[in-house]
Amino acid sequence: MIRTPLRPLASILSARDKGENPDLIEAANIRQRMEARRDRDRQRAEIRLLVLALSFLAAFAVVGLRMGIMSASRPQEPKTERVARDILAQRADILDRNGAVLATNLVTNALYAQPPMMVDKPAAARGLAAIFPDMNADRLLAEFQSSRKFIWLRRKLSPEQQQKVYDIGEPGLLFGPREMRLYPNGRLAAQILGGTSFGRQGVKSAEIIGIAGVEHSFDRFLRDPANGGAPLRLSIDLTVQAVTRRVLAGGRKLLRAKGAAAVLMDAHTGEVVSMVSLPDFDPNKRPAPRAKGDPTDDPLFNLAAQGVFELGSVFKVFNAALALERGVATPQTMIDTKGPLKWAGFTIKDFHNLGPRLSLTDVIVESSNIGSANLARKIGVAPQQAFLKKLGLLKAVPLQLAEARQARPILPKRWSDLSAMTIAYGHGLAVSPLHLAAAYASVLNGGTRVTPTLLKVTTPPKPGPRVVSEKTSQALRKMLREVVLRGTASMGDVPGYDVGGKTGTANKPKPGGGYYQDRTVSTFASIFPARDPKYVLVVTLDEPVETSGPKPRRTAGWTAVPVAAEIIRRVAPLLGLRPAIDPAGTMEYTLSKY
Amino acid sequence: MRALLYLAATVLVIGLAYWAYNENYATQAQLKRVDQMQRQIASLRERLGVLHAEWAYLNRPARLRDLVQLNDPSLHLIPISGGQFRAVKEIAYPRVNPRDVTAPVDLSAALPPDPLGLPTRARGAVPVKVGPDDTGRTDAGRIDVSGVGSVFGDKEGLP
Repeated sequence: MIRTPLRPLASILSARDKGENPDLIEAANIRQRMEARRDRDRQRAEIRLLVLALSFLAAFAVVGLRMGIMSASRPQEPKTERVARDILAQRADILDRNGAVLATNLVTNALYAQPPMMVDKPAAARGLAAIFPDMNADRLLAEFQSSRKFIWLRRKLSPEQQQKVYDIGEPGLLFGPREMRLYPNGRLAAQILGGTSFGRQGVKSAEIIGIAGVEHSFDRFLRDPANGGAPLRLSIDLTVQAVTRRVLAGGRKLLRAKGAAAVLMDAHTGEVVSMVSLPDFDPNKRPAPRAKGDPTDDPLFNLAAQGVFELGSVFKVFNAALALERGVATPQTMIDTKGPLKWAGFTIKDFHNLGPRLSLTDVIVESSNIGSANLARKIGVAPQQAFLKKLGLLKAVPLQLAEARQARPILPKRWSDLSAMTIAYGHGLAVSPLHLAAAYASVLNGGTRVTPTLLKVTTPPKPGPRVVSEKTSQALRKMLREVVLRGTASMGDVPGYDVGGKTGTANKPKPGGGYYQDRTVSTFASIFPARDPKYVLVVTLDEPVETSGPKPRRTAGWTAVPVAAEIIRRVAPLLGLRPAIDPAGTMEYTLSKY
Repeated sequence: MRALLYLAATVLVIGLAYWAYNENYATQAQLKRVDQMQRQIASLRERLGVLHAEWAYLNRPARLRDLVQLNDPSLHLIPISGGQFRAVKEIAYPRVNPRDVTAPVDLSAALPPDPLGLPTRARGAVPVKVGPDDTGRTDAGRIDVSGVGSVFGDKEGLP
């Protein structure tokens, strides 16, 4: 670049000649130079600004674009840290208390069709109809030929069926992987487990949702990926459940009972070790609820937890407990049992005449309605109500089953003196066998309230609030043992296991009012071993009849008691209970041991 | 000097680019491997699930009960019952094997020397005799179970 001098000699000389100031020329030149530099600087600054602006624009564009992509795309876990989404099963297993599988998942396939991809539609329709008897070839063909692009054909396929569908060789028949819930033990614990069904379904997978039983009440837990597939451990013992079900099913058949229920509960922790309700169903093929008829006849109905009955004399124990607790009577106090007892136009009778007076122990042992009613009259309405409330008999059982929580006891509309008298011997208040088991456990385990649970209890829970004193509880245990030794439940004795219990036979109410004379609900509520109860067993039979004698017998002593005794005989060793054996080798029990 | 610096920087950039390129591909290869392994784990778990289910199905109580009934002629399995429990003292322990050692053995030499200097005899050491006792019974250590023989039935009679 040629630099213009500030004082060009030629211009200076000519200016001097003209008498002008030559400094002006220099100043003009300086100005010119300055202006040129300024222009250059401005241009450079403009370029820099432009570059800066462009880079900012690019940066913002990148950030914005990324945000847009992130918000529009499906969320994805970081690849490197992704552990298990597709490794873990979709739904956790359900185990029994010893770890045996009650419910697990099995991978299977669903079948769908994409008609546009089909090659030979009539052949596909014929082939499918041949594999699945419930499909109709003509109807299938009509569907394939319609404008539909996607048709679900089958939710679950067995491997054999899948192979047969493959063999059709139709490219338009496709399979979607599915998880299916499997209950390997079939009918065992059917009502406890409930069942599942598919929720939203896509091609790649389908949601499994619990629709009843434990599957429903623990649905959240079972589906929660945060649990890492940890199984749900129930308090049920599979072996015990199997034995209980078998004995109960045998008893139900022999006694021609419409339904049967058994609840075996730990007397201290409230764990339900076994709960059976017959008739039952196979949860692998859960039937639809019956639309008509008595809902209690439906196999889906859980008699043990949902069925509320007037359970009869088993309630006398609560009446006696209250009497002992309030000091109204001692086990030896003589109670008036002269009948029939007339009250407010209502007659209370005993099964047979028991004489004018009986001790409280004998009122329980001989199961005197009149004695119990007289005692209840002395106690009064309010204390009875408060006591039954404390035992949880006036509310639904807080078991982890939606079915149980809906089963509210049927209370008398107006709790009069007469109601109190009838409730004393188990009429006028309808509860479920589960209620009864929990209440028996509470009263007889030493007197602390027990809350039933279906989950395995790992740490021994704190004893619940006290419902009766230790002394009352002990006196009641002794009475219940005597019921078995010399009372109405004489068939209930199991050598070595020291069974105590109370029978209850209640006539069933007619739908229109009044009671059937030939339809009963027979119950045996028992504890074993009676000296220090570990378990409570309640067996309820709906409309049983025993016909070995000249007249049909329906009382619990002839129906529910032998069934319960057989259950105890088989189940107690499985529960790890050792029989108390006499050193002499005989297995007799004497009351002197109390 | 400046040229050298530029050269070094260029070489460094090329080197880093090469390293990053390599790392990128190595990472992708590892991710692919992880993916593959996870798929493998998934399929193995699935298989394990199937085996668990099968095991549970084969061990379902109803089937075991049928098997017990089927094999009754050879196995004679019966449900466990309270009558199968007995007290420990009723168990017939095996007969003590009589040994023919009749000569008295003096074990006093085996005792440690007494700090008080008492003679061993005074400390109660007696010659130990092993063998048939005076009553002629060879099973002196056995518990008398003759009274409970009937409980066991005839088949598993006492020795």
